[in-house]
Amino acid sequence: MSAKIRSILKSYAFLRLIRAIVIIIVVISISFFIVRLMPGNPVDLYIVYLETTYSMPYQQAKAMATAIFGVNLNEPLYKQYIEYMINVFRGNLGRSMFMNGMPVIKIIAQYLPWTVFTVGTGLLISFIFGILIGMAIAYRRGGILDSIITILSSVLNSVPNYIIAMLLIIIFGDYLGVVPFSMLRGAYSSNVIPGWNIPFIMSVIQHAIFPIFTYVITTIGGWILLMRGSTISVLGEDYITVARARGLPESKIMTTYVVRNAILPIFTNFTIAVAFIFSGSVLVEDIFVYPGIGLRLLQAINQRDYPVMQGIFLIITIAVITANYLADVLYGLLDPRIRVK
Amino acid sequence: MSNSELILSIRNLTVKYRSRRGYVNALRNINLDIYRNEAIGIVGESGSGKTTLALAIIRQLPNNARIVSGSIIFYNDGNKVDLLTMNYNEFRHYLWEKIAFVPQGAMNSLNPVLKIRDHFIETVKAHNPDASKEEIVRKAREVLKITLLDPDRVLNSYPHQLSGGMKQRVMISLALILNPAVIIMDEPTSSLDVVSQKIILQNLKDIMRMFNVTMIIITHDMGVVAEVANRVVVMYAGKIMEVGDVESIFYNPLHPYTQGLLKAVPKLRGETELYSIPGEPPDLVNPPSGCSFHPRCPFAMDMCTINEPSLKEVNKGHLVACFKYET
Amino acid sequence: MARTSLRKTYGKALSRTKENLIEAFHALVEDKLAMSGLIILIAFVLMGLIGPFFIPPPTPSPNIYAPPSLQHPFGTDFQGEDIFAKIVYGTISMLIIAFVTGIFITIIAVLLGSIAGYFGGYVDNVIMGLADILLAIPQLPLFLILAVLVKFLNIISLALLISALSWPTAARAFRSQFLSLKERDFVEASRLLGFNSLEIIVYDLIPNILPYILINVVLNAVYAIYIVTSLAYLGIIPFESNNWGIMLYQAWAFGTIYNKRTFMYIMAPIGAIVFLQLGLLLFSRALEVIFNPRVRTGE
Repeated sequence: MSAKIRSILKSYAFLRLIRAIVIIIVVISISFFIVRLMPGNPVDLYIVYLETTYSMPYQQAKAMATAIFGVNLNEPLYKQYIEYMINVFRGNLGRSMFMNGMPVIKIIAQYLPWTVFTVGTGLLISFIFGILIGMAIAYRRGGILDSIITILSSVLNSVPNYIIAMLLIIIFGDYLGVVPFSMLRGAYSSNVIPGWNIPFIMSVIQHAIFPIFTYVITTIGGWILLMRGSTISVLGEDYITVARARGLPESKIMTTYVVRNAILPIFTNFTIAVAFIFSGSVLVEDIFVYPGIGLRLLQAINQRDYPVMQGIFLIITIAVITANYLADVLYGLLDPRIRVK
Repeated sequence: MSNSELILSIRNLTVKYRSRRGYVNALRNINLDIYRNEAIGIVGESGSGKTTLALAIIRQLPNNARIVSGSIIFYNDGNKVDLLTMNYNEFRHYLWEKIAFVPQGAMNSLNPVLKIRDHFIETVKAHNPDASKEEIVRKAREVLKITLLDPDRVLNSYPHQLSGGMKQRVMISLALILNPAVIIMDEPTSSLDVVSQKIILQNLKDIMRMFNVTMIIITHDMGVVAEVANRVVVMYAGKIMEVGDVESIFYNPLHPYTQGLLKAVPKLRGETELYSIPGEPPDLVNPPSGCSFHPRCPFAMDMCTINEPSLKEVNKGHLVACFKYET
Repeated sequence: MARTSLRKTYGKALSRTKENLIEAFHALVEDKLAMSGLIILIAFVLMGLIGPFFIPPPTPSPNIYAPPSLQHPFGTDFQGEDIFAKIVYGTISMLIIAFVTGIFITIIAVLLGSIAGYFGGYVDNVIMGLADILLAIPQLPLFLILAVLVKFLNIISLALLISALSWPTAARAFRSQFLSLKERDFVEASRLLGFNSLEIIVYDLIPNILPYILINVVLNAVYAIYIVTSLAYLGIIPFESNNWGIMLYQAWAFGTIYNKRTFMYIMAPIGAIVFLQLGLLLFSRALEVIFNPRVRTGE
């Protein structure tokens, strides 16, 4: 019996995995065709650029473009597409048009961890505290605390993240003058040695704390409002009254009854939240000058470094899809209605 | 009835709900004695206060409800305790151990993320932390068999894998797990198909036969009362209108409201057209003056609009609140 | 069997509230939050529409980085232009792009949501699959890259592009509304009377969610402002010199926060954006109060 359930569970996770892979393939295809088929597409522009700026002969320029973009321009388009797809899955995302043709994947490996670290921590903190606060005010609904937090959450939910980031710098850096933000640029200070040592870890935390704080403030309101609504509707369910009538202790009712059931509908919003927070990293990293993938993307855009732009865009999207896949699997574990038909 | 040992004694119970329009008089001065091992049916239209009465007994009234006055005395092994004034932590041990409650439309009474097995285990553990899981599951199998369910299948299922009727029977089994003295059933057959209704009624009769248990059955369906109850309480607008054993109520209904209710029951033979009581259910924020039923009563007299009749014994064990029987 | 005119159908959907307009108005006056939303929005509309008649357009002058004064309430910027005037002159284009985008997003979302929800099956899978893909793509990076490849010529083309990519959230919501509505008796009745799907969607379904559609326009306008000011801040929208996002970028890039004299340079666009967002959010609440009696009684 349990082996059977396990196999069904596997198949749910498996179906979701298939779905995630399909979405990734579609996104890679979109990315390929945008760059290759748009009028004035970057590959052609690059060839013209090499020809005019360096007086390079066409064949040589084409060979150079082939190396940079990781596509063979002498092949027909569908072969280029297949080759590109295989390359992406192998981790070959082409080379930067600058930086002596550094492989894009190396650039990503250098910047992505900082974004995943700050965005992931921010998302986790905001989710956990949002859930707890939302539940707490749902239990005391109609009270003063409830109205204050509900209004505050809607306000925070509507203030753009770059404004929160700016206000943090204006208030703490300029007005109060307690935080030297210009020293907090970068992922860590220059006087520490990267590695598992305390000064380095402290420095990393100091540099990351304001970006993380920004992500938390701008997303926590949404979780609070969602969880509040969800908890209120669960508290009105018959099974809560019956659980009390069965003499279950209130702590037990809160954990296995209220939290577990109220949290389920919230998972559907995870997709939107993850994409939103990664999206916001472009602005937040720019304002705090934090060397994550968002800041690097802006740099690539300003330089018109197409392979890097394309690579970073793909990686961010894949990161979002992966995070959603993990949320899907967790959801499946929590809700038997999804897992067992 | 030979056995007339009291188990619950409700005195002067008045409950109000706060609403935007004002206070809703859900229960008004209810007095009712319930005896050990009887099956008592509480009937009335929706809004008559029958569910409020059940929730008041188990102290699970919603937040906007207030018990204005009254007491609910529970006779526990020779001791008298007032359930309403007792410390809640102490009362928690009366819940399900002494008084179990199966709510209306039990479809939604089980936690969707827990297996049926876990519902049994956590219920027993809440009252007896030392109980072993094997022992609990063994007992669960017994009570599931009483409601004619297949324990092997049901215990390992989640609620959504069971039909509405099966969930209702699981709730009834769950109510039996701690051998309670009283089981309150709120609309045990509503929103079920006819076959499931039949099975549930059979279950209830079997339980009455096999256990020493007092059953309080809340329903709007006179048919259910006729099947299982041996005594009937008729409620209207938050008040008790008539109390009597099942034969007296069905063959000699005294209150005009009870008479109307019985005419509204479809019969196998006789007139085909169903009778329905004229008029609308009363507004409980501003209940009618005098007898609450007078605006719909075919026998209403002048005094009915001014004074409120009290519950008086007309025949032995047969009480009615109506001026027609006061002389 | 003749149908009543479209105008009548939709007039009726809205006039259900016209009948108790007074009641709705009282509820609105009592709900302080909703009322303040309405007032903030009216203030912005007035500022955008009649402000330019009273305030001279911002022009460069030698008086740069001036502190706030009577003549320049928020001071002047790096070109000596009056900051308050720039805010006023930027208002109307911000409102236009917010509402045009909000309306476009909502139209696409209602169309796709109704088709997916009403027809279900294969069509539903395709539309919702597309929605899933768009939801997984972070919007700002996508816009940034598109902005490099395509030139945004004007407000409308930008609004169209934003709507083409931002409809999935709203479409999902409309889809589930249509799913539950189409099971209702009156839809079944129309079907039995022989009306086709388009007629049922237009005459029976959409009028039922009309208030919800209006609220959605406002919420999508909030989102549009976020995207547009972000893109302007990042320098993607070059055709709007008075755009608040561009003002924000300039104030930020020129380090004005470190100078007490020019503090208002950055606070003015921040304040304008935050107030407009807040006003719109509260205005959506006002719409709910007007159209949804359940919110009104607080049940």
